[in-house]
Amino acid sequence: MPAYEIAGLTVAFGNAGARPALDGVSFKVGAGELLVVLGRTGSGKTTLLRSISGLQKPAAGRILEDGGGPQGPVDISSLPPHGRDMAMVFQNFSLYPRMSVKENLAFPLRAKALGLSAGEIEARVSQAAETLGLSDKLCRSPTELSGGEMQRVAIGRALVRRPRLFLMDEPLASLDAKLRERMVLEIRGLQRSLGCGMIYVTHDHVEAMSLADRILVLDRGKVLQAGPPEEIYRHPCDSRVARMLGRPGINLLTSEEGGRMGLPLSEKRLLGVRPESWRVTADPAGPAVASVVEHLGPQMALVLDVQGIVLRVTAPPSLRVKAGDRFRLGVDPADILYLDR
Amino acid sequence: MNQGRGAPARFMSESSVRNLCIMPALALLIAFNVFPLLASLGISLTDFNPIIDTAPRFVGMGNYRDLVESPRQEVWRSFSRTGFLVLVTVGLETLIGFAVALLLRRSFRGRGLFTAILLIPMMLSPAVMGSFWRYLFNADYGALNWFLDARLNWDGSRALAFWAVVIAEVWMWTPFMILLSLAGLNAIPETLYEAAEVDRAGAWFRFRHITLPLAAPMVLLGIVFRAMDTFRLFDTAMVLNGNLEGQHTTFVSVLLHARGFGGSRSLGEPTALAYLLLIASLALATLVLRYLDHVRGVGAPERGRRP
Repeated sequence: MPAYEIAGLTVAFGNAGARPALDGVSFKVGAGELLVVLGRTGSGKTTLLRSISGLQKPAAGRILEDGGGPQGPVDISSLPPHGRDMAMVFQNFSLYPRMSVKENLAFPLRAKALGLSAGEIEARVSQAAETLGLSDKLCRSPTELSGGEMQRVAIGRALVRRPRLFLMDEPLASLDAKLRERMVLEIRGLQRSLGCGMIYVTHDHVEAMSLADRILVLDRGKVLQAGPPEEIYRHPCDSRVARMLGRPGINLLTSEEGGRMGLPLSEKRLLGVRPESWRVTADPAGPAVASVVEHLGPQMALVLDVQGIVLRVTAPPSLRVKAGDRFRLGVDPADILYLDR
Repeated sequence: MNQGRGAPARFMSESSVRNLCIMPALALLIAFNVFPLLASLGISLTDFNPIIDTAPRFVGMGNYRDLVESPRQEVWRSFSRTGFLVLVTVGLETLIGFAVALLLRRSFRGRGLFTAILLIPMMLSPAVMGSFWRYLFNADYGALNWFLDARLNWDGSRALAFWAVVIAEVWMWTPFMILLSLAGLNAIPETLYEAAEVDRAGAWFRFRHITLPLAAPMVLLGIVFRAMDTFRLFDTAMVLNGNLEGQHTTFVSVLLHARGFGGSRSLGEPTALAYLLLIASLALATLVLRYLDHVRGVGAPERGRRP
């Protein structure tokens, strides 16, 4: 399976003065790597996928494919979508509505260029259907399926191709939370067993953390940071990345606020403390007052007021607490993130 | 003492208000639909003649028997002629309309203007349009013969007259099929084509498996409308060729007009013919409605997700 390198990808829509949808995006996808592109709506993540697949023509930049052969990386940016051997799963599934599930799965295999025999197609389809638990749904029409089943058909349609690279555009966005959790595991397992590269686009940081070999954080058309999930979580390059991961969100304090709370300071302007980094101790004379208490099962989420500074803190459920209780707070200096902006 | 505004409402119950509102419509329906329907059924069983002042005689199914068994089979021939007209006209309108819609779907400069111009024929009155075509078709000084440098005779006694009606109808109603086809085509989500493109589907494959099946319900609706409309075609044939019997343009409604208004015969037989036409129309409409229900059930659009 080849590795890919995206270099200086720029895509502009509409008038020349507008901010480009993608602005010099560069990154690499290793062979068999699952890269998650994390970004908010409008960050350019879908445009990025469409450019890699060839559906969107970039204004500048190159897409290089390195199959590991002696000829080295090949520039594939001028190839049409069907020449790139990538499979894409769309956010809205895009199943062919007048075809049965089976026909939908077989569709990508029927292209003449592949030259597959009917038997081969049949075998691949039933294998994919079995992998995805769709064997008993093969004769149904897509309109009779549930959201999760439709999504599995869409994934199956990408799967049968055995592409060199998977492109997934928020495939789980329209599914309910429980199903999404299960599908994340399924996708992860499938990608591992196939051993092919995958670029997975999402705005959901939990999805990103649980899937990714590496996360690429995209904001307003630019790459903010790229790295393994724990690195992005522990060492975000700035407050935008820090805020994007973790729920409840990170507490960002100015150095003045940090000073008031007696935290060790550095020359950086911002301090970030994750909710779980705080050590909470009940103390009737403590400076922190609980204003909101949420029981989330495995943990409690508190909103604390420390002399006018509002903090989000998680605590073990063994800590009996109600609104109005007072606390003492502590934090390991190693858990404090110092950020420029 | 304050009874509020609710009090006068009790003057009439809700159901009597409802009945009162339905009454006028019901009265109109009875006066202008049900009564004529029954009256004409009665007339079709007599030899009623509005010109001769004698009491109509009851003839039972005699009029119907005469129609069906007429020696020249003019009734059956007009029915089959009409059927053939529907087949040819609607077929051509659909083919041309869908093809033009496919072209119009791409964006190009002046598409709006071009589409508007294409739709003009549909906006004209059939009588006016018929008159124009009559001049164009004229055997001696018509523009068509001048263009073709031929002396084609489109007179009603010639088979060519049938095709004159086809040409005029297709010219007039193809825009309608363009419009419906465009509506069907524009409703196809773009991502399906993108998915197909990534899936390495060829142009024919995309057309056969995405464009055609997804635009089909709308096109079928157009076909149904046009078939019903063409089945009762009268104006174009009348303007082009008059209401003579035994011509190549004597469609069912034309024959009905010829029998009803063309001579001094009894009104019983034309009324019976009108009844046959009514039964045929009802049968056609029932079939069509059944089919539309079927299409609606099967062709439900892809379950809407976020675009």
